[in-house]
Amino acid sequence: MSHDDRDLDMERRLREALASTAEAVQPGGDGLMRIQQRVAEGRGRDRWLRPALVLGSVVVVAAIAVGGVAIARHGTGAAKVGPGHSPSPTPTINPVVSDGFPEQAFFPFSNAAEEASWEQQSAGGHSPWISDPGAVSESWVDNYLKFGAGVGAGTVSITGTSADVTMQRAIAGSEHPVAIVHLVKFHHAWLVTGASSAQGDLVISSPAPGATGNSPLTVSGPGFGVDERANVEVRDAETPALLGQAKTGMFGGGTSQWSASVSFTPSDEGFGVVVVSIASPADGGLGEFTAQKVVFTTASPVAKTAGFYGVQGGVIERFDAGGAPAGPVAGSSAHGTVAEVHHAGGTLYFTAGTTDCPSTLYSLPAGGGTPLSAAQADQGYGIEGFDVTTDGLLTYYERSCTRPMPDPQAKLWFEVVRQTPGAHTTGYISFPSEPPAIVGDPVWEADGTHVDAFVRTGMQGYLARYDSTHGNKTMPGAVPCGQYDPATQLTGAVATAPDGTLWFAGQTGSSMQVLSCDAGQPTVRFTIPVNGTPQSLAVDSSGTALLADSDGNVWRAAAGGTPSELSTKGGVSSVTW
Amino acid sequence: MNPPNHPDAVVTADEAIVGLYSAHYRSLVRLAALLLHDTAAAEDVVQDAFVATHHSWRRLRDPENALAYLRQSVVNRSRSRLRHQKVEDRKAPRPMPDAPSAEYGALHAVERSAVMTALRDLPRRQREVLVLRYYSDLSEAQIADALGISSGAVKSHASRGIAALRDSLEPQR
Repeated sequence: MSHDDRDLDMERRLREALASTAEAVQPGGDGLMRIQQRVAEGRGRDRWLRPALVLGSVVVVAAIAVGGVAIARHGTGAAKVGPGHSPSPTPTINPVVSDGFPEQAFFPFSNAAEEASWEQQSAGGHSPWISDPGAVSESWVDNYLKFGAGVGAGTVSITGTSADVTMQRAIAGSEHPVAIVHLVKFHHAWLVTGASSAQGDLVISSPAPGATGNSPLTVSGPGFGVDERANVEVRDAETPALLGQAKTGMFGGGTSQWSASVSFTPSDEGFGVVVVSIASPADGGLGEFTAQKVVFTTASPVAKTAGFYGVQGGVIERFDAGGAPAGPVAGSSAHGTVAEVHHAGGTLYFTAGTTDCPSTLYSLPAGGGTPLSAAQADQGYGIEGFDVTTDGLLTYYERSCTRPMPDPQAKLWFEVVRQTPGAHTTGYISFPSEPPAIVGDPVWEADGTHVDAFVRTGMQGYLARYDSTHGNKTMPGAVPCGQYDPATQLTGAVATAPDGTLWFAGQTGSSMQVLSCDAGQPTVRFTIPVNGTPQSLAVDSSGTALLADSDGNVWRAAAGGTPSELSTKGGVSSVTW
Repeated sequence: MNPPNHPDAVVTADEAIVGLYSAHYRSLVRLAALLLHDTAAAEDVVQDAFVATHHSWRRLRDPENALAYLRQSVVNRSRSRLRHQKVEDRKAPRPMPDAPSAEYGALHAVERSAVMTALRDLPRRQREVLVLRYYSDLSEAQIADALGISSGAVKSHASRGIAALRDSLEPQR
């Protein structure tokens, strides 16, 4: 062997060793979530600095600093119970106690039975935080109102069976009070009855605390300040779900009152919470908030009508209509980690295998049973997205899991899961080198011939239409939704509704948007005011949509309704009706 | 409707990070793991690089620049981590998982282990150049860009690295 041959042989050996060693490295699935969290944390810090440098009203910063000193500074981490002084303005709610249970209380319990159940469990050490008013306040503000972990309990003032907890957050180095949470004690539990703004200027004058109301709900209060704008939310009281949201117009500088009309889908519990907040002029984060209970006059016509399936913890889980997990589907964990699921004609189709390379598509009766192999990716490829019709037409996008990447790096397949009348052409389209690459699921059109998919080309993308019988992309005019502008958002999920309408979900940069393509024209069906990344979309025959984002949260919206976040306990990566 | 690459189609940093993550996260973690021999540390390093890229997005704009920046950041951060790790991990290094032995076979595993051990014994620059060349399939110019050295230096490090590996491994064949 010559010197050159020996070098070539060494290069080959090195290449193979590197490829096989690298292949054994399987990154966790939470990388993007961790990056996004850290970026969000960084944003928080950034926003702090800008106002300190450019804010004309130094007085505002100074006032905040003074306010921070005036309030006992306990930090934002843990609640501290102590005598303290009460900086509270007049509480929004004066709790009325009837039949023993405080009528206005709604968190963490809304009736005596729930509290009694906790009393029994608490003897065994269950949820001891419920007997700490500071911890209860933090849990409510952080986990249910979703104001973030940066808001913590400061001073706790207890008078008999009532407590006021000052919630505060750090701005420009000082703790700034944002609200006073009001609680009452019932047996050993501290229960939230509402919150009033720390400065006392953000007040809800209508509806009255505990009043009845329904969508659209007009919320109003006296004006104050200069160039103010408030965010008004109607939230579920027992879950973190946002039922509806609206912004007031600009007010202050003499405006007598602010108001907003909030459209929402009532929860089944029959009551919720109205939360009004304003941003801090110092950093744009939470400035103040106030909250109170509202009773719904009618229950939601769409809530809890139907459950759905999703992938959670690597298995197929049933969820009730409110999003609560109702148990895994038997047999779904028989072949490794489940990556994605679709329900078609009483059968669940799912991909499973190794976390990084789910190579097999299985079918399973929706009620559970023994999974059967329905399709297999080529050796070294994993199935990234798929769609199955009730007729058994299957399309899936497989991508190479090996290094060095083979040619083609990915393929879009058209197959049949089972024999159907009128044999369908089986074939695939090659993606020699990604990008371009398909993102999300390819979906069948109602004609059973064309497949639509969102194709990403580096930082851009477009909706493409493929002809399964000819194995080619229809060009030109490949976009199956004429006026849809892919430059306005990053599409991440595509679905076909039972009526054949194409739906897709994208990230706009500040929210997630779900659109349908009606007669070739895009229509925004609903907007979720969260800067998430759509990952999985499902639409039922009534036009009710489910959307899972890349953080594992699930949203639901009925036709013409307002989206609400479901209480799935997170970690849901794929959804199907 | 704008065509896919319409110049007015401004991509936000958030969108860019999602796109880069989708296309390159796995391979960058593997690149870092080859340099660090530690999967958890590799993920940390790559996530750090993504966060830094997000912060620098206004300067980068061009996705090609972003990937080069990411790769350079991963190599630099891996190098820093390695320096720190050499001090801390002498006590308990965390090895990467072995590939499934059933698929690769015992002989393959022995061969791979020998090559990787020899690679780890190379001087740092030679090791980085070989990983970027033979795992990431980068050109000499791209490697030079990622490491901040000249193309000539890349060629030289690659040549010496291959020769050193050959000399180290040939007695075993």
